Amino acid sequence: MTVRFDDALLAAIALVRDSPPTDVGELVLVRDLFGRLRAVVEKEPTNTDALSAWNERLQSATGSYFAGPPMIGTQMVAPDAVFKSPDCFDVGGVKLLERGVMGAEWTRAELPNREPKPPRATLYGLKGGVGRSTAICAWSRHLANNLGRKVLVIDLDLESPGVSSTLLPTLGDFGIVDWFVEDAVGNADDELVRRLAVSSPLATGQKEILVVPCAKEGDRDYISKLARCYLDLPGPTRRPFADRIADLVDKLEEVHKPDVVLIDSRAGLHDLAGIATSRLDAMTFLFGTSARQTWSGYRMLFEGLARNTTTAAAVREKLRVVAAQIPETHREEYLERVTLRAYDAFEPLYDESDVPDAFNFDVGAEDAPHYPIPIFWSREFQEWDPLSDNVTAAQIEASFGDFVNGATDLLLDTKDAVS
Amino acid sequence: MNSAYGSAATRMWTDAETLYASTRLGTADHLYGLAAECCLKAILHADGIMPADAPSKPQKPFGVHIDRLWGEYNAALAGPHSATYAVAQLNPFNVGPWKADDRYLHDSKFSATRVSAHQNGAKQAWVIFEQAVLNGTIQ
Repeated sequence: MTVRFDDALLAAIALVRDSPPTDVGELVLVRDLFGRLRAVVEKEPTNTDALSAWNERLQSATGSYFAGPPMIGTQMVAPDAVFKSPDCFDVGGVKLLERGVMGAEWTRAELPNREPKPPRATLYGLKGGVGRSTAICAWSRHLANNLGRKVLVIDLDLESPGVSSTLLPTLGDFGIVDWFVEDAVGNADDELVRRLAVSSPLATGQKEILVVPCAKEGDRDYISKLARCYLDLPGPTRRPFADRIADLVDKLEEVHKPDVVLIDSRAGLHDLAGIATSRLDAMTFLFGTSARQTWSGYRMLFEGLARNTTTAAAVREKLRVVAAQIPETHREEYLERVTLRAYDAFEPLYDESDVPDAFNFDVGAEDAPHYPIPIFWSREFQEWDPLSDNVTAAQIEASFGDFVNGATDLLLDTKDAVS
Repeated sequence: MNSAYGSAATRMWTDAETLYASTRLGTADHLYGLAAECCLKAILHADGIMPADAPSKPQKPFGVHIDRLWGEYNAALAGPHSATYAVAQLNPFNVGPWKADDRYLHDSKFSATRVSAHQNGAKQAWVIFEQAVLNGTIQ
């Protein structure tokens, strides 16, 4: 019978757990880019024939998903790349290292974000088109004009830029993609970082809304730059892409000194979204409608996150669901559906209720990560142009009031706010 | 391991380290250069960048040794793993510089500084090679 992807891993884990090779020290199962499995052991055993025989059992159990003979840590130049990899997790009592093409960012530990830093919020949607950028417009307007905060909005939706052109009549001299290509050759100086941010006319008071767009105005080479963004810089001072994002955000904060940072994350299960939601020490707002597929997608994401219990424990406390596009009728029923589906999706991230100090909530607990902050859909917002003021303050309050107040309370200590 | 380059890389790296440990620097130096070359060619070969035929005598632009290959290798890489498998810009085999014909040199020409630089270069290439094996790019 053909051994499939899922079955191969289960069979390999069972073999390692129930009858591991002896005298090899630590053992890590490595699942390569193709899903093939290989044992990497700490040291060569005295009886190498026994290890070879064990490996034949692994081959037999994993079929086409067998990668080859074991690698021996003491014979490797870089054994730490396996035994100390941040992507190595305990799965069913066995250490598993996933070597995927992408997707690892979701479960990696927080980046060394530079302190002190202003409060950061990431707005994320598993699916696009749920009003994330519009919510950023309403929230940044509230923070700057009502609460007197200097806001920095970073458009990290590089594949589908949006929020920057909503907040700016014209883009600036540089975009985020420019920073990445300049950074790769050591040209990302403070002058570039200063000119990355453009002031939005949406701010009407003393405090600015600064927007960092993906692209510069009239960029004719955006695709060429985008193609070079997701680059781990090689060499002895290797800087992975995630570290470069953290450097960019740190540098923007250092140069522009905002009171609050709002990050518009790209949608979907892309690594860039993983970094923005899991690794930048940001409060993350998870947007979703009541659609069943949205919450089954979130459930898959949380199942993956929960694999790394350390990361999951840190991230789950900084998540909050936003019920987007609540229709004008049957609002209570809609919200209830979102609540129930979000509660089910969060199950992998919640502890069992009988664990001491359990991170666990009732479905109706209003302070729970799954409990939705509402944004009410209204016809006017389909054509809202924040820069032309074609929607009244009362209409904004009616649709976004709960969101901007609730999100602000979660992100800031609002007691000292300037009203 | 299907690739002849991968097998050769393993053999030459292991032999170079053995010779280096016995202070037999001349041949260790020669093998470090060949080991690094085979590591990088194994990756180019596995990624389909370098043709699979006649690995003993590859055609241009790959018919070069490590002193030139190091500088041209990054430019040949493409695709999602190019950053993972890239080498540092500074070519450690410029020390000397390393030449395939140096195998005919007198023992006194192989200084500790020179051989150590080439060992470091081979080590960098070998680490990349190890990652490619773990990733399943090289089988």
